[in-house]
Amino acid sequence: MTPTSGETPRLELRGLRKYFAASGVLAVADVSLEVGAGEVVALIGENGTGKSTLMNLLFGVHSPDAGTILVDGTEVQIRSQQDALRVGLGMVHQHFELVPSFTVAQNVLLGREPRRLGFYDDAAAERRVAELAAETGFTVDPRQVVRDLPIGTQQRVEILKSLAADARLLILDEPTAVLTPSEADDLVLRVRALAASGRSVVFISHKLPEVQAVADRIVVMRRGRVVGEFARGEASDAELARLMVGRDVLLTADRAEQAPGAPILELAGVSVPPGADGSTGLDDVTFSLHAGEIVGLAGVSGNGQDELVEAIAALRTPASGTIRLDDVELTRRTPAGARAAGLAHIAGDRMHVGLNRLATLEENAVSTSFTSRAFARAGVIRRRARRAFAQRLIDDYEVRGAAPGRPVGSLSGGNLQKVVIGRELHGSPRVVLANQPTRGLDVGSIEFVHKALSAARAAGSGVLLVSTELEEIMALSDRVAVMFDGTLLGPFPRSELDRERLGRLMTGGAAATPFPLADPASGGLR
Amino acid sequence: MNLVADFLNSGIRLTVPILFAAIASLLSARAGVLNLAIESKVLAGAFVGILVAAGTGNTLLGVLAAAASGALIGALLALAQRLGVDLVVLAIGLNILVLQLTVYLMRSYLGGVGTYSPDLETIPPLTIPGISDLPFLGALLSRLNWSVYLAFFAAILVGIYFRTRSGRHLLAVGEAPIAAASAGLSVGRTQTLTLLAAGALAGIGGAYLSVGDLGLFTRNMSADRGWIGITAALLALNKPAFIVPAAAVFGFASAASIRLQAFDVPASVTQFIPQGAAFVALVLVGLRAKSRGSFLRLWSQSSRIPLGRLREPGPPRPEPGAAPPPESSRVEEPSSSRSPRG
Repeated sequence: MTPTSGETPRLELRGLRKYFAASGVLAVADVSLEVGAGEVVALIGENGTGKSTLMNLLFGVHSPDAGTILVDGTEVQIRSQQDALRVGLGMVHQHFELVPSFTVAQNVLLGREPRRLGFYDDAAAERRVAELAAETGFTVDPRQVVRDLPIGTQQRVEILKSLAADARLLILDEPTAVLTPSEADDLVLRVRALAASGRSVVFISHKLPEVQAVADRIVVMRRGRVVGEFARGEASDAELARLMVGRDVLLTADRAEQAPGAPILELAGVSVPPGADGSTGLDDVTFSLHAGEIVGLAGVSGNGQDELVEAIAALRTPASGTIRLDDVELTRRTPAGARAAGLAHIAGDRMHVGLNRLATLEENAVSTSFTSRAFARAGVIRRRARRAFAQRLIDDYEVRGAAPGRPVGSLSGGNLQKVVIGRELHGSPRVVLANQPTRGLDVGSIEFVHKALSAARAAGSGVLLVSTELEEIMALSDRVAVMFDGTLLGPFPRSELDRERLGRLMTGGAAATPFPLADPASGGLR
Repeated sequence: MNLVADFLNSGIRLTVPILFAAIASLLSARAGVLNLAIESKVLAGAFVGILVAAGTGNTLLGVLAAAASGALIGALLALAQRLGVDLVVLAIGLNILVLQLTVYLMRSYLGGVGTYSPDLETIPPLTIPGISDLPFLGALLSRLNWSVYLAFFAAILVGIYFRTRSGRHLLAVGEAPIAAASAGLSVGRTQTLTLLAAGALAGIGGAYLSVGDLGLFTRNMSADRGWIGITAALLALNKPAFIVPAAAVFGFASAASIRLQAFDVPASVTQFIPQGAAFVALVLVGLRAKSRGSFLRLWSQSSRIPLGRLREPGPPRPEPGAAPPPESSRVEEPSSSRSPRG
């Protein structure tokens, strides 16, 4: 199964084990893994399955309870990220570790800057980074300030940082989560090129199509163990998903054809000025959402989706335009007023907006309805009714590890989202705003969210689904709109769109440039 | 007597302690520490400086001791930072403690509460051959000793330092501690050394008041110059290039307030000038969302409220402590995404 049999693997893990006594979690239970020189190994698995802990063991954040790490056949002790880098292991985190006000060159060579007469030598640094970029194909302009760069280019900077430190094995943690489809395609090509130059890559992801495209070998983890290992093309997406979750998973949502009903949410000429914080704003957005349909809103995050959702949810007042839910003008309503009109809002930030993590589950479950007669009488909370409602939510939505009276902060991401969805979909809302409802969730939880949204659609709600995952948009939506730079394109019937056309729309319809970020001088996205 | 030269001379002398404090604040802020204990460092420097100078009869030793006392308070802050103590609360405590400690020591050992004026020669002014005899420049530069020039030299030095490798590392540590740590820079050591240097500078600023200028020590001699220094650093957007003009705004405002008393201007107006300047400066800074953001960022880094530690369940994340995203004081979650615009 290992293509490098006979040679010394670049990285070998033998029986790694890590138990967190404080939380009683056996995060990594006996993991052995080999990565050969010039090999791309994809590491897949649900959230909380031990992938991150495994990587933290490799980078000295935690020390293993048992097992050894061998690099090029030699056992190594890694106590810090520096130790890891010294033996040739480089890590690109999901959250980039860059200094925003520094230039690309200054970031790439941070800690190993060239000097001239005791001063930082910008010219030499820029030369070196330009050479490295040209050699590896990660095109960047060394003189640009990182703060001004689009996220895809920042990722290149992060990768170059590891390469500049002579990393021979690169670990990419969910690298495509922040990229547009064309950027992701480009990254896959670059990773293959890195492998061709003899460097090894560990590619952590849970997007199966790209894993199939990039990896020589796919390693599946579940509950701290390696449960499967396949060469490229040996396992189908469905098989991999089953191994990850431990049961059959519906990768495509089950949906009945259904004629949409009357329009229930109508936006006309909604504009929001760009914010001082760099937010895009909205430019003359007009569309309508019908009962019993899902409109998918695709786009690279930060192109105005949040502003649109907040405008509809009455969390933000548009400068102009009207938003009508049935006959209610939402722009003049408070958020509670919008909810009273039949709006449900699955917030994009479930940690800070969707839930109060310090409050108990029952408090969160009624946080949008605690003044209603069901939960309050003469201004006094009806605790028993509240507890019963919370318990029903836990049972109906299978919220694991939850009790009505305990703070929700201890729940995992998927279970937190179940609480939000249980609250929002209760009482058959007219319109459901779902802002990135599956972000950061594992395959099993994603399946649950998709089912819940489809059920809302079947029950006659109009659903506006904001997502950066094209597969999700294409699987669930009746119609698809694209946000680019504050402008809404569409909605188009789903049958009129394919992945390529969507990708072009998401990058401003620049059809001639397949990789718009390859040339930083063009300004990339935006 | 040349009125203009005299005004400029007094402006410069009033600028010096503020400039020292402002450089201390700038250094701390750029290294990612909200240092609100500068007032206590200035006062400690003034007190220790004159005690040692009077005891040894050597003003240079006095200034050095003042620097050491300021650095000692800096070391306390650095230790607290490492232990995870709330620096804002600690700084408030230190400011009060040093003020009352000097009062106590004066009362107990120096025989009075108000003023301690030992038999002491202040630092002699530098005489520059040829210039000191000129009518205008001579008056302008009279009574300016080496510690005055040291303040302006320090400002230039900081500007140069930020262009060196080690200075770059300080900036990286202050702006993106996780990025700096992952590049192998020691965040703790950088911040400790910076706090020591900032403390020493603020201490010298204090010594200038007692040993350098007046030759005596009075109760609460720093008189908010540490706070004004912090304000000046904010006004300079924590950039070395603007730090001298920003400090001078306050120094010359004080000078103007003193001069105007000679012109029958009501005291209520003249005494408002320095405070008014500080107020206007803070409004200006507040209008600049960017620097306000960085102030709030420092604040949120210093104030370790338990919310910032809340994480998703499961194994701990690699990121130590709170790592706020750039230009925002929001506590970032491991699962929250980043928009392309940051």
